[in-house]
Amino acid sequence: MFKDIQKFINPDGFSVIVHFSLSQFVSSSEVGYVTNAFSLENDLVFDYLKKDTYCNDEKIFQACSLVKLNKSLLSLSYTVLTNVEKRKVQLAHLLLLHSKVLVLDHFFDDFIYSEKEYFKCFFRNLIHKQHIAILLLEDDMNFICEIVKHFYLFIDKTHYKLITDFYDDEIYQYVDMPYTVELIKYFESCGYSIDHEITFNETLKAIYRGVA
Amino acid sequence: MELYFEILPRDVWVQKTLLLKSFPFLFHESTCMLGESGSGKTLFLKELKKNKNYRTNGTVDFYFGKLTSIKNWKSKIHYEMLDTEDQFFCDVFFQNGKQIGQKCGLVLKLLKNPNYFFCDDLHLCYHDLELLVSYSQKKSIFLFYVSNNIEVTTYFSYLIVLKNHQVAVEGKTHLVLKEEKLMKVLGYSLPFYVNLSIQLGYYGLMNSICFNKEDMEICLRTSKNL
Repeated sequence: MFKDIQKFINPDGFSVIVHFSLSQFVSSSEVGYVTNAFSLENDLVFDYLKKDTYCNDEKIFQACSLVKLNKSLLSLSYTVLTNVEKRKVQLAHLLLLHSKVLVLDHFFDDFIYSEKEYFKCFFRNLIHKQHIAILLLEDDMNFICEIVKHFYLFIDKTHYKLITDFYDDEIYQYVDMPYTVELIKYFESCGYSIDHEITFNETLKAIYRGVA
Repeated sequence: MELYFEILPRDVWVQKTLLLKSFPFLFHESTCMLGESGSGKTLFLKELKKNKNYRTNGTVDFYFGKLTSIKNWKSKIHYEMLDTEDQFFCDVFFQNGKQIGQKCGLVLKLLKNPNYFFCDDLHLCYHDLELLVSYSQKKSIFLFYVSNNIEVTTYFSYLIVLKNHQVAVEGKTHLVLKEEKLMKVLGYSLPFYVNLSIQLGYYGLMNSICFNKEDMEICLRTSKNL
């Protein structure tokens, strides 16, 4: 799949692939990967960030600050970090490598709301100001509903299709239904007529229009 | 029967700042501890297990998850030996075929009927989590669950929210989740249905907080007399 990575890239916003996870990856200055599958032996976080990037300490601290990584973690072994911290370390590494495409495999998993909001803004800045492409591999449809209007759904490891209708039941053979779609479908089954919206705010207005 | 946490071990959160030096918490209902990644939720459970910093006349057990693949869950949990009620629970719990190894480990612990059960975040789907909570209640097992997902909190009657390695707010779940602004300040959104019912309240469409779609439909119908 990732030989043809460019065809999934949207230069103006997030590109999203659903129901797919990385098995093979090698980060470079062209394409960088952030994934839970990545592991390091006994490297300290600081040494890992220094290695290959050849950056000075100040640049490393800046990168950590950008990804909201506590500096106290720099002196720890990578293996003792939580998955969220590991993903932030990998992202800082890719920023220091100046990768032009970032492939983020379930990056937002286990983030709380404020962290998700921060990284959404951060990645949008990377896309629009640094012209870095962001490809998200995600299964959390509640999150996807808030960030894109279409995505690629992988049926299996090689076959995929472009999805523009979030109310297509086929999607939910592979991933959980988002709350907005679930609720509107349920209300329809109860006899209400409500516009098919996907974001929280639009769903709120649609319910108001359909019920009030 | 009661369970009190005593003074927790010093340096519990050695490398991540001390979280709870004392935690005067009386554990008497299904409880969810909500905290962001790295806040020390799992470490809290591990230290509690290791140092036994609690007083109780009941039995206590812990579960941290198990990433093993198991083909035949029935033989693993000795399904034939279970009573009808437990068999029914297992049939439904294992129905979707997901996380079988994880669930086997969990069920084996639950079948021992501990009075207090501390469980790390297992990332169960909401349906399975709901089953787990209702089964625990039926069996009078007090469940203490940790998570970073605000959506799971609605299944528990008591909620403890962590921020900056401290307990920021705690109380009955429905009362804590009413504090929309406080939760935002703490970095959390509200669970979807709670948030939606509060927002619909501002539109004058609802006057109570709902935890699921069925409640929401009934509330809307009642409040608008539809």
